[in-house]
Amino acid sequence: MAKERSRLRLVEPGSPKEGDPSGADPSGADPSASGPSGVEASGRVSGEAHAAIDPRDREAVFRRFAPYVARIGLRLLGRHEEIDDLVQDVFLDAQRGLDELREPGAIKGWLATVTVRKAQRRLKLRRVRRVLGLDEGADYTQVADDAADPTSRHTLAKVYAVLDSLPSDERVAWSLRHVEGERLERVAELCGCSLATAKRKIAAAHQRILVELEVDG
Amino acid sequence: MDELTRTLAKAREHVTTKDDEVVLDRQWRGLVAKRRRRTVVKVAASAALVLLAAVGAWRMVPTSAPTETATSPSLRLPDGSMVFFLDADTEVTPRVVADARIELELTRGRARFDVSRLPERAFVVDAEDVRVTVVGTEFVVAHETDEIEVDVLEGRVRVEAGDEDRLLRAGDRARFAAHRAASSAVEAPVEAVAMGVASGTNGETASAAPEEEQVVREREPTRTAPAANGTADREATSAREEATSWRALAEEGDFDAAWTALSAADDVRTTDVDDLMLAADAARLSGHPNEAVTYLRRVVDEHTNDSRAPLAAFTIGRVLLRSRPAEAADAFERAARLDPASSLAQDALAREVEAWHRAGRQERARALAEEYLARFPSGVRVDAVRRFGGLD
Repeated sequence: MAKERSRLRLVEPGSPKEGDPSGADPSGADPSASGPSGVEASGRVSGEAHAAIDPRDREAVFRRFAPYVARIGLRLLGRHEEIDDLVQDVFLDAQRGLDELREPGAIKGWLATVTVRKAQRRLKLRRVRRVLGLDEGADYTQVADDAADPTSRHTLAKVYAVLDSLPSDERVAWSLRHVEGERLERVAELCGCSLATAKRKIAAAHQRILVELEVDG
Repeated sequence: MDELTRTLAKAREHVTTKDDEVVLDRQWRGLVAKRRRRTVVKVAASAALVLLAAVGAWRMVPTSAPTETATSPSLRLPDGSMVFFLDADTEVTPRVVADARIELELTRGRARFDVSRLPERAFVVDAEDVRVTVVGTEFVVAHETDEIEVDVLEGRVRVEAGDEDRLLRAGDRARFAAHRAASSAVEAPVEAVAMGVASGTNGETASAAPEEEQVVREREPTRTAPAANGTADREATSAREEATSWRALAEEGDFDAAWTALSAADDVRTTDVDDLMLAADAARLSGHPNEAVTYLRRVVDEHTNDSRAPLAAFTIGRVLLRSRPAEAADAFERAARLDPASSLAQDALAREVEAWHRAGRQERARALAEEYLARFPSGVRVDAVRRFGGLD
C-alpha cells in the first residue's frame, strides 16, 4: 500500500553528480538548449511566427501544428501506431480552448498542454492493460527514425522499454525533460505540478532508468 | 551531465514523426470522422437524458441514486466487475487479477467499483493504508490528500484502516485517515467530518493537529524520549545531528562521508523503506556491499508489498553477482516474482541466467535462458542470455 518513493541514487563515487535530484544537469547544461522544441519556457511561441493563423480556423491550425503534436506524442508514448489517434484526440479536445484563444502565439502552448494530458491518460491505461496481460509491449527499436545511428537506436529502445515500467506521471515528466528537452519550469507547467514536484518526479524516473540500464552495461 | 543525458541529447532528434502531406491528410480525415461520431453520441446522450428526465418526473421517484455519474467503465475486469474513473487524474493499478482474488490499488482520485457477485472470489481495493474488501456490491472510494472516503452504494463492504475494522452497509459513507499513524484520530462518519469543516477553521485545525503530532513522533522517535540526564541529552542531540548528517550526505551523493556518519549514528529506521534504501546506497556506493545487502534484505523481507521491494531484491542480486552468484540468482528470481509485469522482471530473468552460469549451474542457466528467449524473443538482453545460457 505504500507509495513508490525510491531514493536510490546511482552516483558512483568519483563520477559527476548525475543523479541530481533537481533533475537539472549539475554541469549547468540544459537539455532544452539543444532541443528542437523551440518553445519558450511559457510554452508560447513568438506571435510573429503564427500571426497568420486564426485559432478558429480548425484545418489551418491542424495542418500547422499536427506534426508538432505528433512529435511530442511520440516522445511521450514511444509508439508510432498510437500517434494518429492521439493527434486526433488532442485536436478534438483542444478545440474549445482554441476557440477562446485571442493570441495565435498561444496555440502551440495550449496544444502541448492538451497533448501531455492526453498522453498521460493513455499511459495510465497502458499500464493497466499491461498488468492485465492485454498489452504485450512494443518493439522500441522502431522509435528512432532511419537516420539514427545504432547506438542512439539501441539506447532509445532500452530507455523506452524501461519507461513502460514507470508510473505515468514520472514517465511524462522525465520524457518532457530529457527527450523533449523542455525546461524544468515548463515541465512543471505541463504536468500541472509544482517545480519541486516536477524535479522529484524527474529524478525518481532518472534513477530508475539508470539502475535498469546499468544492468545492460 | 551523465552519460544517459548526453546520449539522449543527441538521440532525441531521431524521435520524430513523418510530417508529409499524406500523413496529415490521413490524420485530418480521421479527425473529421471522429468529430462526426462524437457529435452523434452527444446528440444521442442528450436525447437519452431528456427521456430519463421525463420518465423521472413522471414517476416522481426521489433521487437517492449515487451522485457519481461516470457512464462507461474505464476498466473491465475478467470477472465482469467494472471500475469507473470519476476524476481525470484517477489512477487504479491492478495488483492481483486471478480467479480467487482481485486486488486493486487506488493511488489517486476517485473511482466507483461495480463488483460482480462471486462469493468465491475476494475483491479488495487498497488506498494508502485503508483496505476495502467486498463480496458483491457497488461503492465509491475517493483518495484525498490525507483521507480515504468510502461510499457504499449497494451491498456491504468491510473496511480495515489501522486498528479499525468496520462493516459499512448500503447508504453508509465514512472517512478514514489515509495513513495508519493517524487513522483512529480522523476516522469518523462523514457527517461528523462535514460538521467539523463547516464549523470553520477551528474545526479543521482541531482534527489536524493530533494527526500531525503523531506523524512527527513516529518519524523522529528520539525527539520525545525523555533524557535520563544531561549527558544522555547531549548524546541524543549528537545522535540526531549525525542522523541528519548521513541522510543529507547520502542525498548529496557523498556516500563515503554518509557511511561514516551512518556507522556512528546507527539509527536507520527499519520501518521506513526510504531510510533503508538510502542506507543501502550509502553502504553500497561507499564500498560496503555486505552491509548494503543487510539493509536491502530488510526491505525485501519486511516490506514485501512495498513497490520498492523488487528493486531492492534486484540490487541484492547485482551486489552479490560476482562474489556469491547462487545467492544472487535467488535474489533475481525473487525480484522477478515480486513484480512480474515490469521490465525489471525481464532483466532479472536475464541476470538470473548469468548468475547460475557463474555459480556453475549450467543446466539451470540453460533452462532459464530458453525460458527468457521464449518469453522475450526481442528482449534487450537476448545476446547475453544466449551466451550465459550456453545457447550460442
